[in-house]
Order: sequence, then C-alpha cells, then structure tokens
Amino acid sequence: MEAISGTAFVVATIVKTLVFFVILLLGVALTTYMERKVAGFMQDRSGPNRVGPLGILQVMADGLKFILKEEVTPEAAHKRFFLLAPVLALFPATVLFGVIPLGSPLPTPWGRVDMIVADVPIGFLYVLGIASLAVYGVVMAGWSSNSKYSFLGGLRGSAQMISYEIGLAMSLVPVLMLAGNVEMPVLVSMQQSFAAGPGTYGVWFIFPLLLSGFFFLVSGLAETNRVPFDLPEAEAEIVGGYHTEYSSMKFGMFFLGEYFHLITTGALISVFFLGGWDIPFWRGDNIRVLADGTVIGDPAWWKTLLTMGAFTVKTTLLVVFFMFIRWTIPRFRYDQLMDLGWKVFLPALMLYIMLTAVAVFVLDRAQIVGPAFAGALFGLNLLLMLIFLYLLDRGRLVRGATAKTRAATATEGD
Amino acid sequence: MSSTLTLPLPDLVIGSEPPADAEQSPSVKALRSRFGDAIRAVRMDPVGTPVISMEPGRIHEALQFLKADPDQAYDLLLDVMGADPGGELVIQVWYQLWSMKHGRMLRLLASLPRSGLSIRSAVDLYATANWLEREVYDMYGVHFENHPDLRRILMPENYDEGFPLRKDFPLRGRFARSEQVKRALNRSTEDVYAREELALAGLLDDEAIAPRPDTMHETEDHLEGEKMVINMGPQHPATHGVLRLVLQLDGETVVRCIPHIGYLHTGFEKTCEYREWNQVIPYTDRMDYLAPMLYNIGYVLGVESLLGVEVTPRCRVVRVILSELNRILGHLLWLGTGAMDIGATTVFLYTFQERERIYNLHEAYCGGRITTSVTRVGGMVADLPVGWLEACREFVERLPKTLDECDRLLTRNSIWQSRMIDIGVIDADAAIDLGLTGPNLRGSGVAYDVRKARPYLGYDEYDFDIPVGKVGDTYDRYLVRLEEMRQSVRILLQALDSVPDGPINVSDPAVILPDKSEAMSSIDAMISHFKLVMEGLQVPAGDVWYSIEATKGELGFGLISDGGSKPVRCRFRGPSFVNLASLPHMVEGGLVSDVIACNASIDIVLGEIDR
Repeated sequence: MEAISGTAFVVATIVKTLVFFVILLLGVALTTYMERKVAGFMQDRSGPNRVGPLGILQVMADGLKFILKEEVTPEAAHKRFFLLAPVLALFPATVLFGVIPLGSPLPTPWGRVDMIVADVPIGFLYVLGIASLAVYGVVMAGWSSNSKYSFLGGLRGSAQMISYEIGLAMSLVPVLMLAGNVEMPVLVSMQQSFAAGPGTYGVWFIFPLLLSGFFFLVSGLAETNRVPFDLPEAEAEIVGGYHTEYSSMKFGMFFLGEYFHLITTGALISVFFLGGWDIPFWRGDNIRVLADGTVIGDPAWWKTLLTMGAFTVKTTLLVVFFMFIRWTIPRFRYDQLMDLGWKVFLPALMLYIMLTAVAVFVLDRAQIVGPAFAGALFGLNLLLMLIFLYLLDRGRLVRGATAKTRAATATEGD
Repeated sequence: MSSTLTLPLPDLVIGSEPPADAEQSPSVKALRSRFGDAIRAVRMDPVGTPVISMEPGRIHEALQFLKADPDQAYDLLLDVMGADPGGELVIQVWYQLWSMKHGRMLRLLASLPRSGLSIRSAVDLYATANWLEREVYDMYGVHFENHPDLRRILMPENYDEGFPLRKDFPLRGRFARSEQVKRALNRSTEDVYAREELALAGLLDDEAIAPRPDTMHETEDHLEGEKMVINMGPQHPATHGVLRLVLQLDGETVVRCIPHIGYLHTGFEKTCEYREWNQVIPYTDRMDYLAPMLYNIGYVLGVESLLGVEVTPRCRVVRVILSELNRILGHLLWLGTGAMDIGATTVFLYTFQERERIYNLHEAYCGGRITTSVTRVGGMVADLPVGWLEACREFVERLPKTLDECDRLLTRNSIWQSRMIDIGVIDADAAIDLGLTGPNLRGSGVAYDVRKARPYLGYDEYDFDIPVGKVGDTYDRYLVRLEEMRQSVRILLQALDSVPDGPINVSDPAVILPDKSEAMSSIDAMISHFKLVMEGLQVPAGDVWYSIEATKGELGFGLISDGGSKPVRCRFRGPSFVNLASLPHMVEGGLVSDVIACNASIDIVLGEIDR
C-alpha cells in the first residue's frame, strides 16, 4: 500500500500530533496518579482515594491546585530565564515523543499512515540531540532563581545529566551496529522476523545486547532525575534543588516534565530493546516498510490497535519498574554518582562496544545470521553482564570517598 | 537476621559499688592528699557519688589530675552545670565525671561568689566542656577563662536581659513584652546573624573567629576559589527540627560547619523551678517527645533517689517495659527519618507503622500518645489496664519481623553502604573526649551503657547485650541502633514474663495520693490527700545527679532541693545537646550529603537540646 501523501498527509500528521499529544498528556496525568498508588502499595498505605472513584480524579484536583496557587517569583531572580526554565524542562521530553513509532502502520482509504508523528531519517540521533536539551531547563532554573540551594541543584543537575548523556549515547552504539540504521521504524522491524526481505534478527535487542540495555536503563533513569539519581532535587540535602524557588504551575511544569521524561524513557527503552510495538510470539503483527516503499506484512486497523496496546503495556511496565526503584533504594552521593558515570560506565561501555564490534565481525565472517547470530551475542552478553555485576557489587568499584581507613573492614564485614 | 552483624563482644564498663562513706572513695583520698588545702567539703549524694567542693581556682588543676592519673582516669565529662541555690549569694558549677576504666563517678563542685563569677575553662581537657560551659555562661553569666568561644548558646547572641537561670531573674523576663518587641524590631540584620557567619562571609574582620586553619580545606591544585556560605535550617527538611547549620562550602565540600541552636528554647529549666516536683513531669515529655516515657521515668527516679523512696517491684518492671518500648520508639523514628534523609523513603512508612502500634499502647495506658506524663514520684499514674500486657507482648513478638524487613532493605544495599561506611568517623578516644554517650559512643566501640554500668530499675537482672561498633562511622551507629532494638525486644520479653502482682505505687502517704475512695472514708487518708494537694510533695534538702540510658545517650538530671515542694534547680542533661556538638568534627571535610547522613546518624531531638 502506498504511503499517504499530499494534503491527506498534512491532515493525517495534524491529527496524529493532536491524538498522540493528548494520549501522552493523559498518560502523564495517569502516571502521576499511578506513582502515588504504587508508592502507597509499596508502603502499606492506600494512596489517593478521596477524589473520585479510587481517587482517580486526584490528578484533576492537583492540576487545579497548581493553577490556583499563588505564584511567587523571587525578587532577585532573573525574570526572563526564571520563566523560560520550566518551559525548557517540559519541551524536550514532549518533542522526543514525536519520533517514537507507536504501532504498526494503519491502512486508510487515502493510503498508509505510519504510527509515528515524524519519521525523521536521523532517527535516534535526534533523540540524543533533543534529550541533551533537558539540561538547560535545570541549569537555567538553578541559576536564575538566585538561591544557593537552587544553584547547587542546578550545578549537580548539569554535571549529572551531561555525564549520563554519554552513557545514554554510547549504550546505543551496539544497537547501531546490529541494526545498521538509526531510523526508529527500522529498529523495530529488525527485532521482528519476516519471511521475505533483507534479514533481521527476529529477537528483541535486549537479548543480544543485554548489557547495552542495562546501561541504557540506568543512564535513562539518571536522565529522568529520579531516585537514586535525584541529586539535583535531593529534598533532604538541598531542599528542592533547582526548583526550590518555583511555585504554582511553574513548579507543576517541572513536575510534569519529570513524568513526561519518565514515559519517554520507558518508550525509548521499549523501542530500542523490547521490540517497540512488536507483540511477542505472534508473527501476524510483523509489518515492515522497506526503504523503497514496499510493505512486507499485512496491515490492518485492528493490528494497529493491538500493537499500540502492546507498546503501551511495555512502556507502562517499565514506568512501574522505575517507580519500584524509586520507592526502594536510597540516593547516591554526588561524587559517587559521578564516579559511577565516568569511572565505571564510560570505560565499561568502551570495552563493551569494542567487544561487541569484534563479536559482530567474527560472527559475520562465520556467516552466522538471524536468530543464531543474536543467540551467540546473547551468550556473550550474559557472560559480560555477570562479570560486570560481580565487579560492581559490594564496594568493589563504588565506595565511600572520604576516608579509606575502612577498606579492609568494609569488605571483610560483607 | 542478627547474623548480618559482626559486632565484637565488648569489654563492658561496669560501675563499682560505691563506698558507704565519701571519705573511703579512692578518688576522694587521692584528692585529699594532693589538694587537701583546696577541698572545702566532701559528702556523698543520695546515689553514692562523692561530691567534692573545692576552691574554684584549683578545679582545673584537679580535673587535670583526675583525667591524667591512671588510678583515677576520669575520662568522660558527663556534665558541667550551673546552679543558683539562692540565698547564699553563690553560684555553683558542677563537674560530673565518670571513669570508664574504674567505673566510678565523681562530682566536683565550685562555688563562685557573685562578685567574681570566673573560673578556668576545662575545654583544653575535655572537648565536651565547650558547649556545656557555654550554656552555664549563657544561663548564669559564669565567665570561663580561656574558653575558645564563649558566646551565648541557647539565648540569642544579643540577648540583653541578663542571665535567665539566676534566682534574681524573674520568670517572665526582665522586659515587658512591648519592650521585647520594640528591641526585636530595632535590631539590625547584622546582629541577628552570628558573628561567625559574618566572618565566614567576609563581612567581619575578626582574626579570632576567622576559619580555623586546621580545618581549612586544602584545594589540591592550589586554586583558591570562592567559598560559599550556606545556611541550612532552621527550616530545612533534614535538620530534624529547628537546627541551623551554617556551612562554608568549597564546591560541595564542607569546609566549616557551625551549628546554631536555641530556636526552640522555652526555658523549661527555669519554669520547673516554679513548679512542684510532680508538676515538672509534663515538661519532661516535651523534651524528648520521641521517647517521652524515658524522660518521665528518668526524672522521677532522680526525685525518688532524693526522697529515698524505693518503688514497688511491679512498678519497677512496668517502668522497664515502658523504657524499652520507648527506646524502640525513638530508634524506629531515627531509622525511618535517617533512611529518608538518605533517600530511602519507604522505610520511614514501615517504621512508622510500628511506632503507631507503640503509640496505641501509650494511648491504651495513659490516654496520651506523644505527651504521656506517665510517671509520678513513687509510682505510676495508674496501674496497667486489663489486657495491656498481652497487647504489648503481641507487638513485641511481631516487631522483629519489621526490623528484619528494614535490615534486608538497607544493611547490605550497596548505595546505603557507600553513603554510610567511612562517613563521619569518630574514634573511641575522640568520642569520649567529645562526651558522646549512647549509641553514638557505642558505635565508636566503647561499651558504655548506663543500664550495665550503673544498673537502675533492676536492669542487672535482665539478660541482654550491648552492641558496639568497630570504626565509629555512620554505618556502625546504624548497626548499633538496629541491634539495640533487638536487644530491647529481648529485655521486653523477659520483663513481660516477670511482671509481679501487687500494688504499682508505694504506700507512703507522704509521697503518693491515697486512693480516692479511701480518702473519702478514712480521716488519715483524707489528711494526707489534703496535705499532698495543698502543700505539694516535700522532698528533703539535698542534691543529686541521676542518669539513665535514654535513646540518644545518657540522660542526666541534676536536681537540688531545699526541702520544699519545688525544685531549686532542675537541670536536664539532654544527650543530644552534647552529641550535636560533635557534628562539626564529623562533617568538616565531607560533602553536603554527608552532613545530612551524619546529622541523621547522631539522632538528635531539638526538644531536649533547646529545652
């Protein structure tokens, strides 16, 4: 089926943008509700249950509260940047969502509609580029508030986000090696199996690139500024960090930004490592558009809905996983966080990329393709993962930084 | 789950039996031989502590001798307190000493004439004297020579109404309310801020209070950047109350930390001098509101020692049960908030569920949950209600499950360990020098616990261990407290098995109100009821320094009675006050995050610090 074009394309894009944005907004609203329910579940309490059935309208009440609250702008703040910062915090996570394929192509009387707002050819390079912009919101908020706590938070935030940006980007290099392309729809189809067309791997990238997925997960978590990486806003240490001085809806935008980020990170992990909208153990949904426009597979509207459902489930599970993490473990200290980023993740990733490159080269030479190729890589990854976790564990690499007097007893005590 | 702990078996400090006569005490003999001419009087206080009244000029020399001489080795200065017994125109300074090695207690007493309120400071001998002497200066105006930092501590630095605890100072202050407001409004901003803070910010040229050279953080590449002064508190999520820390930061590294306290100061000690002995009890709740019954019990034990009253066997066991419940109550709060400070939010909710159960037990017993006021001199407010012991046993038996849960969640968590191990290290000598007590001291490896060293309430009859740490870092203090809760459970189970029947209150009509029905039917009971209500409890003249093991450390009560119905002096040695003074030693050189971890690990409660 031909791709949609002309006026219909414009109309379709506008409709898609609106629909996806509304879905995203709704998703964010529900995520804030879910966060409190998950927290309640983990902490043996009910969570919100007063507003509406099961407290589901709590979200609206909160939104209303944010808007109605008095807005305070500190006298000494730099007004323009102070206003701009929350916008910048919200913006990247929102526009990132535009390049994420949400489902299989939808056939319409006017042509095929891809379930992606903007199928940009630079694919995840765009993701990395835009994700880096998020740091500006944090830095600007921290600096323009003209408060010492905000300033510390902004400094921490910028250092942290830049450090983990590198982890984020480098953990995608092996994905690039396997997929051979940066376009997001191609990434998804590479993880599916087809009867015709160029070869694919047929398994989700999380298996052949387990370690990559792990690094991406952790770096993504660090990018969202949540526990254990919530140092820029560590409320026990620097009050509220970069958004200490914000009130009313301006604070609400930072708050929303965090949840936008959370969903986007979950969605990106789904696309890169969990097969995107692919439904496991079922070949009927495997639909692929080749570069020359030929469609392999059989698009149908109900398949589109099903695959979108699958994508939502994956993203939601990841978001819940992030929430479990947040309500379970303590937060890092600033220097430990930087140590982890620069002294552990960076060298480990470099080594990993080299090993993956060698493995890919060897497997290519051995004429191994498809699932067998993925299986071999999976074996290697499993081994590397075990070695990495062993090394990472119990103070072998991450350790208190002040006095070293305890080094002997610390390991002995474990 | 206690197997996760590898705590060493401690050499316990056990107090020796005090001799019957003060002159028989080896310390008194030694002091007599060396400072015979300076000793004015020697006596024994009701709990068997020799009290030596000395010439103020020789006190420092005597302290030096007592600390250095291996036969004395009084290494822990528990308290420096002032007292104004009134009438005689003298102000007393008490030095309460404890020898870890010999398990002996001693009190040196200096009486200063009002015309020359000056004595040499003991800071060079005991670091803990720093804040304690500042408090005496603040409250009585005693000038300590050679004190490095003699400023007001609880009252504002520019407080100009005098010295509040002197007898000639009126209860409500010298100035009328309007005058106080006027003065407050006329203050310049500079006055409100501490001089130290201004000096750190470079607004004050004062060599004396410029940053100490020994704590100056050396930048490795000799690049001298600008340092930032940051004000943490009095309103801050992690200062556990209205504590204010002035931090000088180099990046995120703490160069200097100056705690400021007194924001919650309400003059309890002054107020207590105007209350009858039993009326003081509600004030004790409000000092450590996280474990109020320990304060209740400690205070009445002090008064009972003055009275010479021995409580009934049932009351003793009930007090032990309540003490240990409150120890768990305090430690659970510490665990929850400490974990929250480090970012683990969920533990807080887990511990608070258990705390609610203890509060329910409080409520079932006395009606109050936080402010319990549960004791009376000579007994308790009431006997235990029916079924209370069973409810308590049910709680005690299920508590270890929650402790194990928190243990599993935290103890071996990599992030938790890296946030705590080697952070805020205080070794044993420094801990004693700083006067730390309680879990903070034991975390540093010193097995000193009042329950073992000077058993009260029959603690020697229970089988329990004293956990101690190895290194004295934040992690050790965490492990020690966690284990202490388990030991408290052990004590509780033993105590619950052995609650004797019988009356809860002593039958002395001069101490305890008679039964209401009896007062209505018997003339004797009615007379004693009338006398107790109208005249109040009469406590024989004397003084005592009594201490118990509270959750945060050694809780001391310095009480003076002139034989009347009100205390002449009611001193509360809150352990947090002394423990907090060690914070700068822990955090200087660390990071901002370590300040939070250390502050949480000291486990302070501002109620008893500020009083």
